[in-house]
Amino acid sequence: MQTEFNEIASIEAFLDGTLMDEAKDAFEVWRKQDPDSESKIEAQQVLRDGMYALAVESYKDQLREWNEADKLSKAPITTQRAQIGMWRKNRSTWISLAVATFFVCLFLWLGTHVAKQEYSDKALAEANYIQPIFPSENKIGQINLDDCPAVIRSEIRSAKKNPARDAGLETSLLFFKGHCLYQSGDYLDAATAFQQALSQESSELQQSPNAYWHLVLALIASDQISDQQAIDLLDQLPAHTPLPLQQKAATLKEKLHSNWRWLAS
Amino acid sequence: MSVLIIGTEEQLPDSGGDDDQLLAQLLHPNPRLENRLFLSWKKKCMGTMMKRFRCDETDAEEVYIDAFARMIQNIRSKRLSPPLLSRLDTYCISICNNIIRKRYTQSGTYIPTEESDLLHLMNEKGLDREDVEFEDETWAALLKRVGPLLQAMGNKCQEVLKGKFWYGYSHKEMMEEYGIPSEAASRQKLFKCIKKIRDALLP
Repeated sequence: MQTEFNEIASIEAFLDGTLMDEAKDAFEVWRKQDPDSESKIEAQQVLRDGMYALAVESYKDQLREWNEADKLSKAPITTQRAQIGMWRKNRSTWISLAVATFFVCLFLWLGTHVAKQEYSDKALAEANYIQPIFPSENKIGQINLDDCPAVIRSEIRSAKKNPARDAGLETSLLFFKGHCLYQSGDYLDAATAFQQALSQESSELQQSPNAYWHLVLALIASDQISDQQAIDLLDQLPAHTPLPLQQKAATLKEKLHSNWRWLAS
Repeated sequence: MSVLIIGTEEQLPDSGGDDDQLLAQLLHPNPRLENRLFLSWKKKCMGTMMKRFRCDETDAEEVYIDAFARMIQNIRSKRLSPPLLSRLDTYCISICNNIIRKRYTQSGTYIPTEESDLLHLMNEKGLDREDVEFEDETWAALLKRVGPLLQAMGNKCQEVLKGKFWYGYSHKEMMEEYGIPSEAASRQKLFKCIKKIRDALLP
């Protein structure tokens, strides 16, 4: 075994080129004497070369990993840098855009706010409301919300005293009921009351233009009809509608046509 | 050859004289330094190849990887030792040129690998085609012959063989690295493993 190890060590030293003097001479003697010496030297050379080749191939795998990692690490930074660069380069443009956007939003908000003050359904209903005249023989003036229950009681008493009025009692009650509901903001029920009052055929309602007017307003305020339907209804005001009311209807139609209505909605 | 003791912070060399120090640092595995060198030389080496041979980036990249790996192994197997006649990165570029010259002519014509290797060897060594064909197969043949034999060895043998032939460890370093009790034991172990593979390679 020791001879074999010495032999291997000698061949290694020979292949390294580090054999000197006596060791070199001894090696040459062995080389001539051993018939397998050339095969052994060649085999060890193949081993060295093979290990070299394997080492290179193995190391290349490591280098490919480093290469891929390097490529991956570069791509996002480049993107980030490009994004940051783009921001810095166009900073003034971005600021101008932000300021312009702010003012546009401000004007839109103001416009919407103003539009809602005048053009919303509720605003139209409140601005165009006409308080009815109290019909009692004993009281002249306009009724308000607080008077509503009293109005109803009064109307009943009044009708009892005046049989001629009895026939139109229900119609009248419905008319004032409609106003009471309208004033309390209950536009849907108010519209129903006005509708019922107008549909009574038993007597002619003197206040029919007023009822018709507030019916249309109540329908607008309770979102029961579109603007175009409201305009069509306003075109069909009763024939004996007073002039002031006709003028109010014309103004209301203009507002319904207006673009501000879109903003208010 | 004396090994210079360098500080723990690996510095890339500024001038040719420092390349000898760099060589010493690369004698044994030094992943951080190798990684830094690999990445810092990449652009220069690939740029030179792409300019001179008009190859594409993918080919240049693969050749650079091959050349860098060979350079490191040349250092560890002592095929390259000080004093250096040129800078290490220049040496790496020359390996790149040698490899790529087999693949491309200088006018940028791509030569199929097998044919270019044959022509290169025939021209350089003045050999007949038959002889050249034999030599050309050497690299692949080595991998094919020695690879499976190494895999078949036990872990300890693989360790000491790689330590000797891949990482350039001395017996003393293998003793420390692999927990072998003494230099003599390391020497014994190595020679035992070499004999095993050598006997398998004998005709």
